[in-house]
Amino acid sequence: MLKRLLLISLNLIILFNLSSCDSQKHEVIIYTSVDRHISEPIFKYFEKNNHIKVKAVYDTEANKTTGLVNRLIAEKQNPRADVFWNSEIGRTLMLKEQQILSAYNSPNAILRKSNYRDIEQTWTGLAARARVIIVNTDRIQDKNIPNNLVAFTDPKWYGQAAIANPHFGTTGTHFTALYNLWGEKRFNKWLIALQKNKVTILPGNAQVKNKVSSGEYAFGLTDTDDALAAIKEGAPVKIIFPDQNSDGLGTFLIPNSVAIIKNAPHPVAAKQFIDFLLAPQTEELLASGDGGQIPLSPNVKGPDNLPNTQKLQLTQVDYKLLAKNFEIMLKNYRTIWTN
Amino acid sequence: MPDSRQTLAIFSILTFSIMAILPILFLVATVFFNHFLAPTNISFTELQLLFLNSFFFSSNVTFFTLFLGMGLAWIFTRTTLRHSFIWLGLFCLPLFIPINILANIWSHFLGNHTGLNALLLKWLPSTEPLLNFSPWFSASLVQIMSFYPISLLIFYAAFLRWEQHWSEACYFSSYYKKLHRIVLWRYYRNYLGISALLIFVFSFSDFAVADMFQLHVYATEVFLQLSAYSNLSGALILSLPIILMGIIYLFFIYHWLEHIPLSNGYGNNRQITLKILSPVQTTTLYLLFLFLIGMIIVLPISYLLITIDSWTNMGQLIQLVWQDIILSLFLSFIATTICLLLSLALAYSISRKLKPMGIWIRLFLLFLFILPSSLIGIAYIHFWNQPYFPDFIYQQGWILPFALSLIFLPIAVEIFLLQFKKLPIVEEQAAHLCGISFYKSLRLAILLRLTPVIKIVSLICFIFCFNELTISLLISPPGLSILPVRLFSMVHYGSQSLIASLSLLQLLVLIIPVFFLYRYNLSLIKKSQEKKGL
Repeated sequence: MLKRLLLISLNLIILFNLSSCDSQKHEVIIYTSVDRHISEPIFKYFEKNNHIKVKAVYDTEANKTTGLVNRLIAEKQNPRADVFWNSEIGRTLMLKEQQILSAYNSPNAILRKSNYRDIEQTWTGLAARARVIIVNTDRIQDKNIPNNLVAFTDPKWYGQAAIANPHFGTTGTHFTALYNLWGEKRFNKWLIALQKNKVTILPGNAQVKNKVSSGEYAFGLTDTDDALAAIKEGAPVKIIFPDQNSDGLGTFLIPNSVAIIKNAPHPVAAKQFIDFLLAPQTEELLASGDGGQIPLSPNVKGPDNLPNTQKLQLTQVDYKLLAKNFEIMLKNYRTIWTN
Repeated sequence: MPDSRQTLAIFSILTFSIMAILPILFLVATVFFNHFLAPTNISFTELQLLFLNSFFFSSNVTFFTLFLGMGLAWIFTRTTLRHSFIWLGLFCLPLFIPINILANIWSHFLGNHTGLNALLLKWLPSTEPLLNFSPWFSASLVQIMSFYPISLLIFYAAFLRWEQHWSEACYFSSYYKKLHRIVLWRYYRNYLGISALLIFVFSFSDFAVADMFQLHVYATEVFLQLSAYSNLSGALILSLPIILMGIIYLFFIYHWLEHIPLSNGYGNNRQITLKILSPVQTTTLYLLFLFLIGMIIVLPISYLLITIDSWTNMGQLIQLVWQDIILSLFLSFIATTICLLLSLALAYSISRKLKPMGIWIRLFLLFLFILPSSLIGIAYIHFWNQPYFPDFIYQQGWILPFALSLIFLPIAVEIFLLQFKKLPIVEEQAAHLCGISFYKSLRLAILLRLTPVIKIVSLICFIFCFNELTISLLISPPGLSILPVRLFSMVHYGSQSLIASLSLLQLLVLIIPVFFLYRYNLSLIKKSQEKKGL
């Protein structure tokens, strides 16, 4: 009886493995920190047009969308993922430093500006989000609306503004960009002023959006997708693209980034997916979705629910340097904020 | 008999080694060889302050949690209060709500311009928030409300297992009161010790609540090391002080458990004297319960119900996630079964001293309990994601239920150990002398008497496995969609209404099967009583 059971189990395991081997030929494994409601339709569209099955692993905001980065690092010796589609760029640069990414020069990558792609071709930027000020219109009238990052340090708004924790996500990347632009001295001065003005640090951009929408804070710094979600919910909020004066800093764009994993199990399908994702049509799809992702390919129509982003004054940053000073920025932040 | 017992011990230790010891040791070795003593981005003074701050925070939470849990358990078991089982069920409801969701609800409720303050601002002529709750207070409140059902259930079981003849034995002594106090203390200190350890560690290692209220504690620092800096070594090093503290604490519990003078009798039906409540006391208790239920249960659930704008959303949501629900229930069921079988076997082996390594296994279990679940997930990836292992083990997700079962295994072992220590071995020996096989005597003489505890452990384990997010995220196979991951990814972009619908759905998904199991269990008891002619 025991022998028979063992034999059946062994057969089942072999069958299970064989069937999975067969299905592996036409699939691509994608790890993504892009919100599921944005990425899933894109995967379905890709499956329909390319007859390649997408097996996705999604991240969650509850663990600051860093779970998959840790998974990729842990799987480094025996990679399981083919593609990493990140909702921002900082963590992709970190993965590049850890030599987890492989080079691929997609024909669709060449179309975009050099700042949005890696010289070594390990990653390419696409469909960006902008860092914007979300303002509660019940609490602030039009003439007083804060329209730059300095407003967060204005005593007029003492205790009324909120920012997400810069240890994570797009806020971390944004703060690093500011550190690179301003230099240590000015950046630290700004941090001290934020602290003096009792700016609240919240767990994430979603909480900034929620607490400004509910009126707990008058305004906050968040991403366009969160701000658009608040508008869709009917919250009394307005989106402000900060620092649009001629001498202003400009609005900071954070592109999504996509990369092939080194020694990926399905490299051909992975390349096909990246070509598809970087295609102008896909960026247009992403722009027309709920997230209002801003296309980086030239001549692609921007989101309907945002002002013409082609005319925006943007913060001039070198994205490649964002990983380099991330830890130094955090060290400064911690020193100032915990004292 | 000894052969079967030894086989059980060897099998359980081997399984535990493969499931937990080897992956964790592999991770420690990898970190040791690759990044030995990597900096933790935090100064020693800052670390000391953080540790002390977290220690006081968790001690505070532990004290109030034990007080609440023990008090309620005493009322349910030692007074003539009617419908105590229904009250128990109601008071256990917070167990079903994931702590992140509870924190989200309470952060909204205690906010400066929302919830309670919004209500007051409507009534009172003021523009400034009237109540200002500190992060320390809010986080403590949420943790107490989330963890007290654990101490309630443990003490409920403890009070139920107390036997009247232990009290009566003290009557014959001339210093009855003193003796009775000693007996009571010797019996309850084990339950107190285990509950305090569990709740303290839960509170100390909880990241979600502290993060929601932006309270910088030790757990957030461990999380930062791993998530912000990707510093695995830093996260492991930071786990060491709490492990050391746990080991010292465990030493006391171990010492206490070695000196249990009380063994449960067999067939002793003597009823425990219950405190007869006067009508005034009953009314006061009902009022107190209504206040507590209102605050702990009704308030968050009503908040969810009010926040749901449209019930059609709920239908659409169920349509979207029903497959995830089935898969998650199935996975949690498998994980609970694994956890239950292994914890019973391990606890039995340790309590009967079948192998001289009992204390080491308990220490390792404590280590496992304290280790953040993200590190357990990463340890599993390091160990099981090897090119020379068959592909299906890691890639097809066969290890997922094993990893999930580890979350609750340490608690289950400690609870069963406590029970096994109090079951006299003479019945097993008698069964052996009568020629009854070991497994049959285990089933009829031991497990039967542990049924209430087994049910409680299964319930809590099932809930923990079902709500576990980090491990599912780290090792779930590509293409597999599990409810917690789906829900927490929706929470990010969703409106308050959607979040409320999701939370309610998760609550219902857990409560409905548990309710049916409870009804089934009642019918079984009824049938068995009818058979006996009672």
